[in-house]
Amino acid sequence: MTDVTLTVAGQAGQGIDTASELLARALVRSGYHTFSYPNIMSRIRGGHNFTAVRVSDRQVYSVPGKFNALLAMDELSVDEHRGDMVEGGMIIAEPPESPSPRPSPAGGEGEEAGIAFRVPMAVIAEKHGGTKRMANVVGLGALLALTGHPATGLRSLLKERFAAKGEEVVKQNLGCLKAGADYVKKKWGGTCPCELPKQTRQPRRLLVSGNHAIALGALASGVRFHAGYPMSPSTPIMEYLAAKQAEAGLVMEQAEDEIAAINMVIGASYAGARAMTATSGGGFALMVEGLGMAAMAELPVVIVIAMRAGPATGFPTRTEQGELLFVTSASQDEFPRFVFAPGTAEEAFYATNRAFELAARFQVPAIVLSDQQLSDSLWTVPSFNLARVKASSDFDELLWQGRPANSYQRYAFTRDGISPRLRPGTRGQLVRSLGTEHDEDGFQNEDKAVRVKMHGKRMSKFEAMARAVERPTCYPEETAEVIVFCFGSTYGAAREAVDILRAERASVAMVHLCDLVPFPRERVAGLLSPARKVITVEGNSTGQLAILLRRETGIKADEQVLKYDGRPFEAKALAEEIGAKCK
Amino acid sequence: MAESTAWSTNAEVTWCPGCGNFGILTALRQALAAARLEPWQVVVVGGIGQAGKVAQYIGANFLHGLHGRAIPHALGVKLANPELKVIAVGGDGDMYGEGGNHLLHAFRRNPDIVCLAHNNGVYGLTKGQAAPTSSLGFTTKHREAGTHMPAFNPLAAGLAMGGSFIARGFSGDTKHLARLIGEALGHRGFGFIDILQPCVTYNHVNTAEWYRKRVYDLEVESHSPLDADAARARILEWPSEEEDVEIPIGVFYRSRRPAYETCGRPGQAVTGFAFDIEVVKKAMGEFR
Ligand SMILES: Cc1ncc(C[n+]2csc(CCOP(=O)(O)OP(=O)(O)O)c2C)c(N)n1
Ligand code: SF4
Ligand SMILES: [Mg+2]
Repeated sequence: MTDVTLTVAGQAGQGIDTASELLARALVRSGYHTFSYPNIMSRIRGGHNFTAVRVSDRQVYSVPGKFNALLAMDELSVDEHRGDMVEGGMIIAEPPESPSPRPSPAGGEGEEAGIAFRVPMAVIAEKHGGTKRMANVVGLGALLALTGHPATGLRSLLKERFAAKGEEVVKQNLGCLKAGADYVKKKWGGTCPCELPKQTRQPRRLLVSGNHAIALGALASGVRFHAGYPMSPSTPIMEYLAAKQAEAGLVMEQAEDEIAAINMVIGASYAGARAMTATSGGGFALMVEGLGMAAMAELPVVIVIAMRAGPATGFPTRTEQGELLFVTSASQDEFPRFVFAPGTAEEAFYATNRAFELAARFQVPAIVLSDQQLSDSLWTVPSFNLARVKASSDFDELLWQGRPANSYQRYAFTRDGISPRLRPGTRGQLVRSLGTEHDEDGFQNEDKAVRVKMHGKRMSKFEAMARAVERPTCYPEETAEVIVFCFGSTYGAAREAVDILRAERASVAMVHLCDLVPFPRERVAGLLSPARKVITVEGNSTGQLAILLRRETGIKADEQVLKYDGRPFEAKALAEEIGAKCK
Repeated sequence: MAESTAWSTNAEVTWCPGCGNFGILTALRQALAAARLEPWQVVVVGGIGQAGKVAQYIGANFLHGLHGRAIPHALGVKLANPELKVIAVGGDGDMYGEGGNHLLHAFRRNPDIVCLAHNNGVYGLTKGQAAPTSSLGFTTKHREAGTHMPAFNPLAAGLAMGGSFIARGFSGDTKHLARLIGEALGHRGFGFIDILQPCVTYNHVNTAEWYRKRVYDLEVESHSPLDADAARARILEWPSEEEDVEIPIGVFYRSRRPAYETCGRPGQAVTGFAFDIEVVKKAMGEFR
C-alpha cells in the first residue's frame, strides 16, 4: 500500500499553489488518490506557505502526518520542516549559500531526518525558461524523477495549462521540467527513497476543492443567481460562478457588502431565480437579518458558510467548526431551516444539490456549512453522478392559467403549509411577498389569530423537512462499543482514526452527521444509545455538537475531543486521543 | 391602459391625516396610470418606515422587506428579471441612513430602477428621531440640544457617484411630482427622486408651508439637466443652513449610461428552472 506525502513549501508568490496542484493532478490522472491541504498565511507575498499532498492507492480523506518528500522553494522551508520529515525523507532545495553538506548513503547529502538534494532550481529555470519564476517547475521535475514516477502526465498538463500563453511558454515549462529531472538523474542516478510506481488503472476522477465541489453542485442544481462579497475561505465559489456566467446563463453580482448580497439573493428568489450566496462566519453575521426575511417571506435561498477560526477576523485562512450553534439558530424568533455540514468534497456536491432542492420544495432557507479544511483542500473524487442529482421545477404556471385575475394568494393555507409559488410578471396575477406578518393575500396583518395560524403554517413544514433529510453516515458499520460522533470536515480524520483503532482490535465506529437541521433525532438516538461510550469530535472549544446532541436527543456524550488551534485534525493523533478515551 | 384607481389596494392606509405621504401616493398612482403599464408588470419594493408602506398601497406586485434594504432587494429582482418594472420606495432613514451604502452603489451601477426617497427629515415610524436629512440643530423630544451634523445632501452624493437621473420633488405639488416620476419611469437607468415630504407629527421645522415658500421649479429657471456644472451649483443650493434659502425641485441632472442589468449579463430573465446538463458535464470535465 502506498501512502506518502509530498509537500511543496515556500513564500507566498513562489508558485506553491500551482506546483502542488499540478503535482496532485498529474498523480490523480495516473491513477492515484490525493488529498492536498494548503497551509496558507493571510498574505499575498512572503511569509511561509506549504501544501502537503498526500498520495495513496486508496482513497484518503485527511491531512497527513509526516512528509516523505519536501520541495522547498526557500531555505526557511527547509528549516521549518526538517522535523516534519519521515526518517530518510527527501528534501529538494536550492544549494545553501555556504555549503557544508555531509554525504549520505542515499546519494544526496544528509540533513538530520531528511536527505537533501540540492538543486540549483532558480539557475536552471533562468537557463531553460528565461525566468527564475519557473523554479517551481524545475523543482517538480526533480521531485518526480526522484520518485521514479513517469513525467508524461505532468508534461501533458503543462501543455494544456499554458497552451493559451503560446508555444514559447509551453516549451519553456517543458524545458524546465526536463532539466530538473535530468539534473537529479545525472547527479544521483535515480535513487528513490520514496517510490511512486505507475498505477495499473486510471479511472476518471476529478481533483476538486470543496469550494469547487459546492459550486459544481450549485450549477447542477440550476443556480441562476449568486450575489456575494469576498471572504476567505468562501471566495473561490463566487469567483468560479463569475467565470461561468455566460456559459451557464447565470448572474453573479459582487455586492457592496454581505447585507446587500443576501438581500439581492432574496430579491432574485422573489423574482423566481434559484439564488445563493457564499460567505464565512463574519459575513454571515451581517446576513442574519436577511435570513429571517427569507424565512418570513417563504423565499428559498441557499447560503454557503465556510467557517474559519473566529470570532471577528480570527484566522482568515485557517479552519475551525465554531459556528455550529450560531448557524443552526441564527435570527430573530423561530422558523424552519435546513443545515447541511458535508464531510468531503463529494458529499459537498450532493449536499449542495439537496440544499437547493429542499429549499425550493419547502420555500425555506438552506445553509451549507463548510470550513476552511473542506473548502480549500483539493480532493480526489469520482466523477459526480448527475443521475443522482435532483433538479425539479419550482413553479407551475399552468395552474394559474384561466384563473380569475388577482386571485393568487402567495400565502394560501394548505394542508402541508406550502403555498404554490408564482413569479411576479405572471399576466393578471400579483405576487405579494413581505417580511412583516401577513395574511394569505400577502398584506400586513396584526390580528393575533392570523399570526398564530401563519406562524403555525411556517413551522408546520418542519416535520416533513425532517423526513426529507438524509441519514447519518456510519463507518464502517452501525454498531460498536464506542461510537465516534462528528459533523462536517472532521469526517476524514475521524474515519481514518477509526481504521487505525480497529486495526488494533478496538470496537469503534464512526457516526457522521451531514444533514444537521432538522436534527434526525430518532436515527441518531437509535445509533448512539446502544454504544458503551459516545465520543464527540469537533473543532471548537465548548463541544457544540455535544450540546446539540444533548438538546435534541437527551444523550450526553461520554467523552469529547476538541480542537481549536485553527488546524485540522490529524488521523494518527486523533486515534491516540480517542484510544485513550475508549478505555 | 390601467386607470389610476386600478393602482390601489384594499390595505388600510395608516398614515396620519395631513401626512405628505398621501401626495406622493397620489402622484405615483397617476404616473403609473400614465405609463401604459399593467400592474402585473410592476414590482414595488418597500423599505420599512412610513414611506415603505407605499408598497402595500400600490396595486402591483410587491416585495416589502427590511429597513434600509429596498435597493438590494430591487436590484436582485431586476437582475433576475430585467423585464419587470421595478420601483424602490423608502424613507430618508431607509435610503440615506440604514441603506446609505446601497444607494451610493446604486448610483454607480445604474440599474433601470426608479428610486423614491421620501424625505421628511425625520424617522416617522419610530416616533421622531433625527434623520440624516434633518437640518443642523434639529431638536427632538428627547434631544433638546439638537443634531450636531449638517444635513445629508443625497443629490450631491448622486452626482459624485455618477448618477444618471437626479431629481427632487415635493409632495405638495403632486402634478409636478407625477411628471417627475413619469420621467424617471421612462429613464433607462437609476431614476432617483428625493421627495420633500412634510411630516405633520414629528417635523415642525420643514412644514408644508415652509417648503411652499421656498421651492421653485428648475424648469421655469430654464436649467439644463445635461449641464453637470449647472446641476452641481443647483444641487448645492440646499440643504443649507441659511434661513432664506430657496429650494430647487425638478430634474437636476440626467445622462445616458447603459443600464446595469444589460452590462455583461445574460440579457434575459434567469427566473424559473432551466439548466443545461452539457454545461455541467463540461464544467466537471475541467476538473480532470
Ligand atoms: C434593522 C432595523 N433597525 C431599526 C428598525 C426600526 N425602524 C423602523 S422604521 C425606522 C426609521 C423610519 O424612518 P424613515 O426610513 O425615514 O421612514 P419614515 O417612517 O420617516 O417614512 C426604524 C429605525 C427596523 N425596522 N429595522
Ligand atoms: S408620523 Fe409623520 S411621516 Fe409618519 S404618517 Fe405621521 S405625518 Fe406621516
Ligand atoms: Mg423619514
